[in-house]
Amino acid sequence: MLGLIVATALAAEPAVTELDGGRRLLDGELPNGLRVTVLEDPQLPVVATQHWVHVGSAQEGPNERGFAHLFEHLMFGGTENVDAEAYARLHTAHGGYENAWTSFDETVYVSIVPPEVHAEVLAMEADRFQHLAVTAENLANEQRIVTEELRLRTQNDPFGRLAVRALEVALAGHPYGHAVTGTPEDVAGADLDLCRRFYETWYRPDHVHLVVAGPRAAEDVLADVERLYGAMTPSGTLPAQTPPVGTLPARLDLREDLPPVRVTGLAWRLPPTGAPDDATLELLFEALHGGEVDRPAERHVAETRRALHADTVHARLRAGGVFGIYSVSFFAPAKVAFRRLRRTVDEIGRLEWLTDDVLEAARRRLLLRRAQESWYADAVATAIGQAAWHHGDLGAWVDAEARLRAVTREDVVRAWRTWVGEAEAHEVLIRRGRPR
Amino acid sequence: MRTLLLVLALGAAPARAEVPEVAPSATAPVAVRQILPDGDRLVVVEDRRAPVVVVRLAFPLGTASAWARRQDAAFAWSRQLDDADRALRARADALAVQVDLWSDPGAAWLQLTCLRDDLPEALALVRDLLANDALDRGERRRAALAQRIGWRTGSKDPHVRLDRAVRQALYPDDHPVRDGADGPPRHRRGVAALVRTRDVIARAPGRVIGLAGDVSVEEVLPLLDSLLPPSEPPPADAAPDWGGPLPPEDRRERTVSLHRLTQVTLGFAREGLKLDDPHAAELLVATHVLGGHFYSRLTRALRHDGGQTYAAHAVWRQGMVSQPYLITTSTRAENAATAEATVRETLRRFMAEGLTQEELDDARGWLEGRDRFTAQGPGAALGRAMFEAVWGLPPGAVDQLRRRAAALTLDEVNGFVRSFFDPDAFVVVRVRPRGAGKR
Repeated sequence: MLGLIVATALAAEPAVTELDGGRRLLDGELPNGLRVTVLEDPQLPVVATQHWVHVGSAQEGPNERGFAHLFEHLMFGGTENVDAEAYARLHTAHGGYENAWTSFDETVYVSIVPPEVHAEVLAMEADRFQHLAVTAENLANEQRIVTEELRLRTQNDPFGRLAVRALEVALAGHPYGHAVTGTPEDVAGADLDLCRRFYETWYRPDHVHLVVAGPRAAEDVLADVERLYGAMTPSGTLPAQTPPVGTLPARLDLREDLPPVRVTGLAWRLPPTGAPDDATLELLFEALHGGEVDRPAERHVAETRRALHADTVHARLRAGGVFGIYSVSFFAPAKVAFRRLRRTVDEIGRLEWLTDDVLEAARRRLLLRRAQESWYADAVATAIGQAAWHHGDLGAWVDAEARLRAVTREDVVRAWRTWVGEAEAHEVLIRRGRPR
Repeated sequence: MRTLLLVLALGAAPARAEVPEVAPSATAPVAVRQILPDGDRLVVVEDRRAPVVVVRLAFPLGTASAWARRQDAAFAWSRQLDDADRALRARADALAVQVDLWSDPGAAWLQLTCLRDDLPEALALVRDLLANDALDRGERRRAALAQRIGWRTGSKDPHVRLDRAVRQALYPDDHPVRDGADGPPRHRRGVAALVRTRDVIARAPGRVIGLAGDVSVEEVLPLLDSLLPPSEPPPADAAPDWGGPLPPEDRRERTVSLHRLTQVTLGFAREGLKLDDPHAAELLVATHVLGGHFYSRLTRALRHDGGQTYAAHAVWRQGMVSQPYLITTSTRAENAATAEATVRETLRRFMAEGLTQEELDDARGWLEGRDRFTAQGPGAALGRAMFEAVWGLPPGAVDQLRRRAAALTLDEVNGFVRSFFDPDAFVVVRVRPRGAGKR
């Protein structure tokens, strides 16, 4: 790969990396702090644009639960220059797609359009990031809409209810310890002053990473971005810092209106994303349960019939993560179910299944997924945005294959022992009953 | 058991719900079709952008067949990876492929995706999977029980309950659409019987072998030797037997009550058109305008104008058998009557006034613009070509539907809208909180 210097009006010379297949990756920063990364890929038929705003539910203060998500809705309400429908219409009229999502650590605005419309999309994006119009009327309407969404996802869905209670109990006191959609009371409490403060605090160029993936020449995209976003003024504040997830409760005991089964699980804390072990952990979990064989479930169910069903899950965020194995059984008392699960974990923890062939198969699966991802502009843009924000390093995307190849079996064994084998396991018990 | 708990816990809330996908089409990549010596068909979509191959096989004996339903063919097909030694699953894992097995009205399907270099071994796995006659008895029992628990778990979800109630409202008791709507699945057949059923499916004539990605017809042909067992005619009663919906006068509103709801989920339902219906193109356009995008008629009326809902959709389950056409939304329980009236009024105005020229022009732009989105990966072109092959449609039929839709005049669309979107032609289904008063 060659690193080239491109002369622009940026704060620093952007780095240009030549990739395979005629692709180029340009990464730079405007003087106002807006980071811009453009993947120029002549084989992509459409252009994906993502604005990664570095604010999520973890940055919400007391009585502001759900506000990052509510504000995401308000970003679609029109600007001083165009009405609310114009942005959606631009996309729909060309077969395109636009949406956004809010998570614990970020709010991401997504657009996918044919290349000939992209410059117009960028203009509209820059407009709403600088001239958003929020009125009492559209705030009130979005409060109603968001409250309906909150009801849909967390009140009227048994799994949504469980998830929210699990968060509130397991992460009480931590910024992750509430649903992204918030509470009806806090959503209703938002007012125009709060909107303005939120916009002026977070929707500033030094809290945004603009990612573009498509066939347009990277320098052309960069020129558009400089022209359209260059006048934005930075906040001058540091990026949001979320404290690491600390101690978890020894046991989480939840009830929900479910069929008459018992769910028992064991969970372990994982390090935040951006840790030195990122590639090792990715390979460990892929080898453990990413393929056709979920090894803990295979051992717990198919081989030993200790439960009716089992599954392995993991997730990582900027301030921490979790790895878990859960089982579903009918009759086994909780004590027995937990004992059986610990026995399975001990057996898996001998790592006899962790052969070089298993690791190589895991690498091939990860590379297969990455190859498939390269067909889709939005998937590539998401991977780039995540590499930068969650792993703090574009190399996590650019050099993914090399990093996976560099992980040895010894690294994987060490990671298992550090984060699972020799770490404290937390118990999760979910039983049928009145939700609590 | 759903594995979404952690995803929900740690997941994200998008600005709006996903709108249903309009029938996709693309002008590139291109599907190449060929008849094989034994009468099977080959479809290849060559796309060299990534060293990946999607393999998809269609066996044209699907759930539309009464024989297939009696023989629990969908369950038999789904268990093929469960050999007694667990060796097939281990091979798939070692090959870095994930095998998907499913059935729909038209066919039983097998799909896997692999790196180009692994294609010969992946096809060998397919061959051995189709020849596996040693299903694990314990796994069969476990999977059957897990499906029943899954059905009961779904009974707590208002959207699942709405879907079941819609199917009950529109179709007679013995109609295949009702499968799973009235009670949990019961898989009683033993492994020997399941293997026999699987063999009949795997040998049914008219099979379609599809590959998309870093491969050409010339490269694939030598790899197909002995991939499939010899074909044999299926039983005489294996032909599709789908039947139609209940006559309109026999359809009744349905209301389902669930504990712990704070919303009412509404459905306005009627039978949808088949994809080869003379008015399918009109329905494609009308569905987009009525409930297929963020400023559709329904979303304007229910979300943007007053915040009654987070999402409102018109959903056309496109296919070659009659399936429900559904308009759906959810709203706070105390607003149920108002939301229902809003849907009804939106339909009434849609029927009476039809589309505007601007709406038709935007819909045309949408349909024509989708080309490049569906061309992002070769799988979409493969899927369309195989769908056409399974149902005996001429090549390009799905694309032609899109072109017809894009060429419609306002009078043509609105003539159809006037007949199809009469609110009285829709039966109403509601899922509400237990204890909520009747209307």
